[in-house]
Amino acid sequence: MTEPLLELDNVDVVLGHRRRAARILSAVDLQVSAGQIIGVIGETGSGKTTLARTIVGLIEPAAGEVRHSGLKSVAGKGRRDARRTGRVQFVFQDPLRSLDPDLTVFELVAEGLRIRGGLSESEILDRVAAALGKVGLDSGLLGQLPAQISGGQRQRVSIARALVMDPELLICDEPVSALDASNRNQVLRLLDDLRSSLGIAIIVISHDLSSLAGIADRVLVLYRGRVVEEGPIGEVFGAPRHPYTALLVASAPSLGLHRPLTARQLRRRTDEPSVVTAAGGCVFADRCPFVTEVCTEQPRAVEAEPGWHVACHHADAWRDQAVNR
Amino acid sequence: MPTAPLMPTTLRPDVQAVTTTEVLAIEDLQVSVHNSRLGAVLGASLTVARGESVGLVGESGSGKTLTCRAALGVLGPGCAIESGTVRFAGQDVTRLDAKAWEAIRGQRVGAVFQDPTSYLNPSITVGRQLAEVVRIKLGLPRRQAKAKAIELFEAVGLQAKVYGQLPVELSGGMLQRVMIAIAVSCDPELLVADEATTALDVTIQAEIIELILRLRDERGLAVLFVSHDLAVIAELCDRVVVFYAGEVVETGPTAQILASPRHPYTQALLKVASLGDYGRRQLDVIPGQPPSVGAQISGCRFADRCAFALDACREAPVAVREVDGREVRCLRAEELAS
Repeated sequence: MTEPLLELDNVDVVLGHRRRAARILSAVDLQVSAGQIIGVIGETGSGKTTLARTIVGLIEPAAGEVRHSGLKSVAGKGRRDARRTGRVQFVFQDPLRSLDPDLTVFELVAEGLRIRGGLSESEILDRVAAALGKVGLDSGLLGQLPAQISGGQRQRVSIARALVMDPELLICDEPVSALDASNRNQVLRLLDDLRSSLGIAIIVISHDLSSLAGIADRVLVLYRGRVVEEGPIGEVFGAPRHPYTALLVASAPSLGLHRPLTARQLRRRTDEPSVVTAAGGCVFADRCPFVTEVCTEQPRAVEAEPGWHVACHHADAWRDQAVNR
Repeated sequence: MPTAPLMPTTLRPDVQAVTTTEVLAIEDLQVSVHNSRLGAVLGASLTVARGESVGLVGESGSGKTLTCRAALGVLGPGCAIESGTVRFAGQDVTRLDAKAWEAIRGQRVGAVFQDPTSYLNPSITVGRQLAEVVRIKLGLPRRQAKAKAIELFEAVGLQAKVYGQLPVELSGGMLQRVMIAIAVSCDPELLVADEATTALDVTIQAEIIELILRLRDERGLAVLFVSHDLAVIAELCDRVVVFYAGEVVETGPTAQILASPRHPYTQALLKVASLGDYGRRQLDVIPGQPPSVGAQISGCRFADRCAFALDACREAPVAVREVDGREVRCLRAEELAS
């Protein structure tokens, strides 16, 4: 097996100082190799954006390690070097907000190359045109402003802006949340093509399961800063082993007719007894209908099947209870 | 500058007689944008009955939101109703002035949009904002207005203590519940929800959809729901209205449309919607782009993206016909039965 491009090993992230310090990520492990697409799914406040910022080196972990050892150009160097040489690139959610409205498509895509320096104007033009070609945009758009092109085209510009730096790893934070269903699939297909044709690794972060459907190899389910389940996406979403993953799948609108469990069966009713969980308890305990006394202690992530991890004390038992709810 | 005339759209068969339960009836609506006669909605017709939820679905720019805004009397600057009628509970509201709308909007029609934070005042507690609506619209004295507000919060699944909280203290899902409480505060006949669940977490989205369904069933509320995702519409709507490039291309009961769509565009939308299949596969896309607003097209507006298009499709405008219990704007609807 090839060496992972990026590895997070037991990473904790704490933001804020002293009394205001809050732990945003706890014991997060993540690995991504060339040509792989990893999905990270989580709700508002789950820490998914903090995770992305930690990966690109914008945040220092309080504990654990972020290794970019697989990145060719910076073998043996630290995280910051990886960012400077552009081997890890970030694609933001809302291209209308993240792209400078006063710059043309050409200037937007060329910006990173100019900052890195060392290229002539004609080389820059060639590389920008090549990057636009990779994302399927016509070079006729080079002189347009972000407001003059469609939402799907804007997101392609954001991706071209990342690709022009010749990255090995792309981090996409909600890349398709602002798009309609047809444009969503076009951008997802583009990401899938890029990993096949360029062999780059991609991490897609989203709150929406449909933003990962069809393209991700593995998924990591984040809840309040902890990975509650992680494994191959088809299996994990097909037969979740963590009640939170199951709730996500049951809640996601889909035209698939078969739904083994409903969201109602997986939500705790207000009249059901709760177990008081002090700090250190299972992060999902206060929303979980299957909670018991043991949940006052944070469950360890256990390998339920090869390559499939789940952190739940009742991973084997809750499903039978859910069916009868 | 030459302006494109609106497409002729008097092709639709006569609408059936108004039934007593009909809350909203839009007939052959044409809406222009950019202070011109550029048509962005080219003859949309739809009805919503009491206790019924109707979903408008289509790509960005298909005219679904403009139709919705016309129904609320809140078209933006530069937009105007060129022709057609909007009837609310039997009353023609197409050319109503702002003052007359005040008696309808907020009282008899409530609305919820995508981003609740942009509709709430960040410096006033959500309870006071709701109580203010109740006080002005229902004319209740302060104390009763507060009691009514708390009652409404509980009806949408919020705790009474939310009354004293500022918008910044509440999550996106709670704020959307506050917006729904405001929208239904005067016991309206119609609730318009434009992408109301799009920005929410999936678990919260499911809860908001359940809430809207409950209000529909308990209060006999008519619901007009707009979304670009057919999967969301499928969860909550009795009937679907499919928009494409300013026109309604298919209308019918949700179950029928999902099981056997008759318009090629509806079929394409079904393929790109969330299927609940997460394993790796080649994702479907709808090839090409929709025509730009105001584009003059002599025949079917979908023809350039359609795999089934014939020469006849491009020659003359295609009329809406009734096929197999629904209304379809396609010459080949009968052949497309799956």
